[in-house]
Amino acid sequence: MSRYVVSTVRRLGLLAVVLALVAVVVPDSATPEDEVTVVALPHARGLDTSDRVVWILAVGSDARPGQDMTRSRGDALQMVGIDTRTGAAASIGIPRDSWVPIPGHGSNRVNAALYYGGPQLLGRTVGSFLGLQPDYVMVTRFTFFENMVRDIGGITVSNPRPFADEFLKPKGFKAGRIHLGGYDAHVFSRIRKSLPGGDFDRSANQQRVLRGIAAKVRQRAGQPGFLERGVLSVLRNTRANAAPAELFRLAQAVAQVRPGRISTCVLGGSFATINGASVIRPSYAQARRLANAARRDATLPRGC
Amino acid sequence: MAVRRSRRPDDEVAQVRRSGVGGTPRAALVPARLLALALVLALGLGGLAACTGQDEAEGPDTPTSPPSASVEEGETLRARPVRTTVEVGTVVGALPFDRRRQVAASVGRAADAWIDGAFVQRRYPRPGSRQAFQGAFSSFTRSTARQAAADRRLTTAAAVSARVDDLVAVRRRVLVDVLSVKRVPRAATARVGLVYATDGRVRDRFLVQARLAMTHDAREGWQVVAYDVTQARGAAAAPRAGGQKSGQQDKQKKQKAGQKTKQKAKRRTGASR
Repeated sequence: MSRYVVSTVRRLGLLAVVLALVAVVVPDSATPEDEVTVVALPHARGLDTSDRVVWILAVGSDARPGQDMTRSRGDALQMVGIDTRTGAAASIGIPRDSWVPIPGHGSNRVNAALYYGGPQLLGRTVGSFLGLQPDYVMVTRFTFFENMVRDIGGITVSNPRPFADEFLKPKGFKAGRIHLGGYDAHVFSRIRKSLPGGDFDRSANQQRVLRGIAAKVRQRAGQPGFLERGVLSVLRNTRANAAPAELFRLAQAVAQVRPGRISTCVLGGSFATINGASVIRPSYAQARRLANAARRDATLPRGC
Repeated sequence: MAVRRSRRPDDEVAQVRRSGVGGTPRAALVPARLLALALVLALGLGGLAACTGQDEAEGPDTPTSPPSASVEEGETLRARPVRTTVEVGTVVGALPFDRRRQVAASVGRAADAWIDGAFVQRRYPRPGSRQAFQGAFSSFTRSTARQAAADRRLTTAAAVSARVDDLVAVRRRVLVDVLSVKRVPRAATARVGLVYATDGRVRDRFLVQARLAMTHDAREGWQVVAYDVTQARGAAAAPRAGGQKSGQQDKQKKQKAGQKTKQKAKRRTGASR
């Protein structure tokens, strides 16, 4: 697979898919022998890839309508790995305010790399920081993310604590298993100030949303044309494209992820103030340790 | 090849084939299929694929079962070859109808190559070794073929091949979903349903369900780049108890029920008079 596919994605299926980390392919409810339930059967799955683990840097841009989202700042940063042999998937959450070296631009918040050099530079920045280069960088924005969640019928997440935001969600989110529509999924992933762990907790919430999307995608992946539709959506809404066949393979990789084998971690660090800005000094040791652990099999250690 | 034209326009996302088991969509195809099957059987061309574009319902309810070869006690399996029915499934992106059928036929051939190599066109008994099923994945990319060979207990008949004297396809069907970009087919998913029966120490039916994701290569044609295969044995692959109800049977039942209701109503009316 070629490196660095930069995508500006609108409503999208594949990103959904990518974000979802899920997979499935419940053996087809829609295959010709509809009357037979085969969910519990063992599956043989395989995928043609040059690399066993595919790494995708999923980026949620904070671009407002009319702004170029590949030259804005990335609010959500998740490095997602998929083991195409085992169906395992890992997501390493990178707090937006992490203070890291940006090649050619000194040090800054990691999300500034998108603004300075687009998805390519952001990919290189995160890759250097983790010691693990992404194969793909995929960028989406709020509205498209909302549409995507809406298109799959909303998601269910396990929310560990109630929280609210006076502007984005005055009534707040209850603790426990809650259903989120498009807008709610967006703000659930975006609210930071009212969370005790700030950026860290927000990144963890983003991963909860990913799991929720994953579960929903799992339900729908067996539907005829689901992956094809997602790929077409990406193609229609990207500026620099991968070849359709390549995206199709990527979609297949996502479709082979087993939800039970998704592991997630948020990079730790300490709060600091640099040049008057509140930032996070990330733990490089942890970043390298997690990347090394997941490099070969997309599986993160328990307890991060 | 028998091909039906869809009534749907060239939609951006055309759901040509409805999912589910509704009897109506298949209805109009049955006579053509039976005729084709008869011809195939007569000519002994069981290995060839037929391409059928399945669209919306166009006719009255008729039997819904696709052509199948039943295997009764004492029958010779080999006497009942079944050819593959290929149908256009969901087409995403604009693609002319003629082209859809061509793509479906090509994808169907690639799926057929797997069905034949992995199950049907083999001499049995044979060991379940990798070598014994060499060539089963000729329509797969090299990397995918390697994985599929390692998964051969599910991707071929290797799990029982040493204990069967004969193996025949009872039903083989392929639905093809197509991804078209700028009117060029770029990728496709073949959803395969295969039922095969075995004779010998293992005398049973098996159901294979597969999703074969393919991309098109100018030199190699359609190649499987990803697969997801399951196999079930016995009850899961057997026909429903009493066989599948056909649309006509349903109709007749409804008519009988209607007549009974009318008779009851008449009796009541008569009684009240």
